[in-house]
Amino acid sequence: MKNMFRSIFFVTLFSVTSQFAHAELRVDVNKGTMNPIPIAVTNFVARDPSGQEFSTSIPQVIASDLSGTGLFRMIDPRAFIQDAGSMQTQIRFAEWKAINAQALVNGTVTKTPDGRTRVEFRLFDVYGQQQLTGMAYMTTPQNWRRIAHIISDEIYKRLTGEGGYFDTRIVYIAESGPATKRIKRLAIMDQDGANNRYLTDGNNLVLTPRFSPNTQTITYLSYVGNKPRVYIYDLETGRQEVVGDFNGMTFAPRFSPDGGKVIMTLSKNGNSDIYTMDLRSKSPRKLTDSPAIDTSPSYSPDGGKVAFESDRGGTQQIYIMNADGSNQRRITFGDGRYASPVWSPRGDLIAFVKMLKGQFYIGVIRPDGTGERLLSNAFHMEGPTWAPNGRVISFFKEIPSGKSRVAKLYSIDLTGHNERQLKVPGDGSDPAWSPLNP
Amino acid sequence: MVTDPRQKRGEKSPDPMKTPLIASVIFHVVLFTIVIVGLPHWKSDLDIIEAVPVELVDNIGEMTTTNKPPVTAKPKEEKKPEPPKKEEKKPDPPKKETAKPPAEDVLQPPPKEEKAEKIPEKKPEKKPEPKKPTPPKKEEKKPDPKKQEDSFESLLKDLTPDEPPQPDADETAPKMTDPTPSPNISRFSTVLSMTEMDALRYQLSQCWNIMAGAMDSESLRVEVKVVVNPDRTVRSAKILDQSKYGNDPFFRAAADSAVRALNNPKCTPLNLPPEKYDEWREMTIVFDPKEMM
Repeated sequence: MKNMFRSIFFVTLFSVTSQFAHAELRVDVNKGTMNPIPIAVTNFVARDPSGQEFSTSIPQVIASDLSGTGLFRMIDPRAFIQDAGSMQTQIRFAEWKAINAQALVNGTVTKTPDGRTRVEFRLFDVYGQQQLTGMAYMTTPQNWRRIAHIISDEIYKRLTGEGGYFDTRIVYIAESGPATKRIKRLAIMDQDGANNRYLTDGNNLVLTPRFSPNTQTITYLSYVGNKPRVYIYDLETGRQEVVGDFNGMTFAPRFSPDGGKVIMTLSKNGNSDIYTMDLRSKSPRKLTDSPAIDTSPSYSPDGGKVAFESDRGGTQQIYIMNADGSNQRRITFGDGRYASPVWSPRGDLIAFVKMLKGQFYIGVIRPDGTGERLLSNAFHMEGPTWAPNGRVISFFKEIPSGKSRVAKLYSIDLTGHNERQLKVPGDGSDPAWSPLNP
Repeated sequence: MVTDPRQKRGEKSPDPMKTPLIASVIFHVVLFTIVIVGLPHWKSDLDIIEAVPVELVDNIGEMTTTNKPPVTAKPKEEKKPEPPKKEEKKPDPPKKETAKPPAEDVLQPPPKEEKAEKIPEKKPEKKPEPKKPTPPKKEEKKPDPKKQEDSFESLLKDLTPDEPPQPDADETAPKMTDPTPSPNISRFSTVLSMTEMDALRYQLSQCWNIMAGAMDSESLRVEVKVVVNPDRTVRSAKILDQSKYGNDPFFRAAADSAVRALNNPKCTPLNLPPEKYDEWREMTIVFDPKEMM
C-alpha cells in the first residue's frame, strides 16, 4: 500500500514537472555580429610620484595591443565619466554602461621598498557588474612594457578564451640599402615593434630565422663565405654556430617542438631532401628521399608529423608525413602552386603561400587538406609565421617602390578581416614569431 | 573474558556498525557539500599566496567582502543568483603566473556600486521597435555554394581563386543580421507567434558578438536560462552548463558573450509581447554559432 502511494506520488510529480518543462519557451539565436568589443582602459593610479609615468604609459601599451587585434574597440578616454582615482573605492558601472563600454580595465602602480614596481590591474564586465580577473605583477621599472603586454595577454585570454600573444618577440630580417646592394641583418623586436635590436652586422646575407621553443635561440640561414648553411644563434650569449657539417647547402631550418632537433633541407648534387639534426648527438637523419625538391619542413605542435613542400608531383604542393618520414601524402590539390607550409601552434591549420595567376596569397588549410582559405594577397608575399595562440599570422609583403621594392611586415588574423602593418624601424622580411616569453 | 573497559563499567557495548556508519555519514555529507557548493578556493588561494606579497592582497580582499552585495542597475534582485558564475571566474588559469617572472596574484574585485542608477533607463528609448525587422545591410559576401558546406567558415574572409580579390573588403563588421527564420523554431513557438519569435531573435542577434577565429568555434553552443521581469528586462541569466563554464576558457568566453548580449542596452527591454508575460517570464535562450555566418 505504502509503495503504491509512493509510486502514485512520483508519477504525479513527474507529470507535473514535465508539463512545466514543456511549457518553457526556448529560443534559438543563430546569428550575431562580429563587432569589436568596446573596452575602456583607464589610466592607472600612481600610488607615489615614481609611478606617475607608468600610470599612462602602461594603459597606452595595453590599449594599443588590444585594439591591434581587431577584436576590441578602445573607447576614447575623453568620453570617460568616472575618473581613475575614484574607481579605487567604487566602480560606477552605470557611468561606464552609459558610454557603451562592455569591458573596463583599471589599475594601480606602486613602488615597493626594494625599488621595484608593483602593477595591479582589474578587468570588469560592465554589464554584469563584476570583476572578471585581477592580477598584480612586480618587476624592475625598466620592465614596464613587458608588464603591459602580460596584462594585455590576460585581458585577451579572459575575453576571448584564447591565449594572448602580446608578450612575445619577433625575429626578422632587417633590410636596408639600395636594391643592388641590399644589407640584410638579423634583428629582433617586441611584437609591437619596441625594443628593436640587430643581432648580426650585415656582412653576411641572412635568411629565414626561426625561434626555438625556449625563445632563447634562433636558427637561421647564413651565407658565410658565400656558402649557405644553417646556424644557431644564442640570444643570451650572442654565440653563433653552424648546425652540422654537411657536404652541400642546408637551408629552411626549423626547430622541433621540443627544441631538441632542427629540421631542414639539405641540397646535395642538385637534389634537395629533408633532414633532421639532433642537437645533442649531432646525428643527422634523412626523412625524404625523392628526386624532386623537398623543402620547407614544419613540425606539427605535437612533433608527430611534418608538413613540407615538394614538386614531386610536377608542381609545388604541400605534403605531410610522419616525423620519421613515413606515410608521405599530398594535401593540396587546388590550382596554382603551394609553398612554405607552417603548422599552427594549435595544430588545427597549416598556413602556406600560394602562387596563382601572378599573385601571391597567404592562406590556411586543415592538415587533412580540407577547408582551404586564402586570407590575403599581394604582388609578392611570403614567410608566414604563427603567433603563439594560433589565431594571427605574420608575413611580409614586397611592395613595388619606384624601380625597386620595399619589404614590410604584416599580420592578419584568422578571420582575414584584420590585416595591419607591423611597426618596424625600416624594411623587414622573413618574420618569425616567438612563443610567449617565459 | 571481558576486554572492553566499558563493559567492565557496565556500559553497553557499542554497535559494531556504528563507527563505520558515522564515518560514512560524515564522508557523504562532505562529498555532497563539495558537489553542491563546489571545491573551495584552496587551489587559487595557494597560487595567490605563493606569488604575491600577502599584505596588499589582503587589504583589497577585505574591502571587497565588506561591500560584497552586488547591486544591479535594475531594481531586481535576481542578479544575485549569478554567484556561481562569479565563483567560477575567479580561478584564473595559473599557468601564466608561474611562467612570468614578475610576481602576480588574483585580485579581488573592489566594492561595487551601491546605489541603483537611473542612467540605464535612457537606453530603452534609443532602440526602435523592430517589430518586423528589416535587415539594415545585406552581407557583402556572396553566397558561395562551396562555402555553404562549412557554415562556420563563412564568417571568415576567403580570397578564393574564383572569387575576385577584394582589395577593399569591409574590414569592420560583416554583420550577420539577416533575420531569416531559423529552421529550429521550437515546438513551443505557438506560444509566441512566428513574428514575435523572429523579432526577439533579430534583436538578440544585434547584441550577440561572436569571436570568430577561435578553434572549434562552431561547437561553442551556449544555453542560458533567462528570467525576465514584467517590464521585459532581464532579471537573471544563468549559464546552464556550469561545469563547462568553469573548465573550458573558450566556452567561458562564449558564455560571457551570450550573457553580455542579454544585458546589452540595445537588447533592453527584450522584444516580447507584454501581454504574454506568463509565456516568456522564464525561457532558455540558445546561442548557437553553428548555423550562422
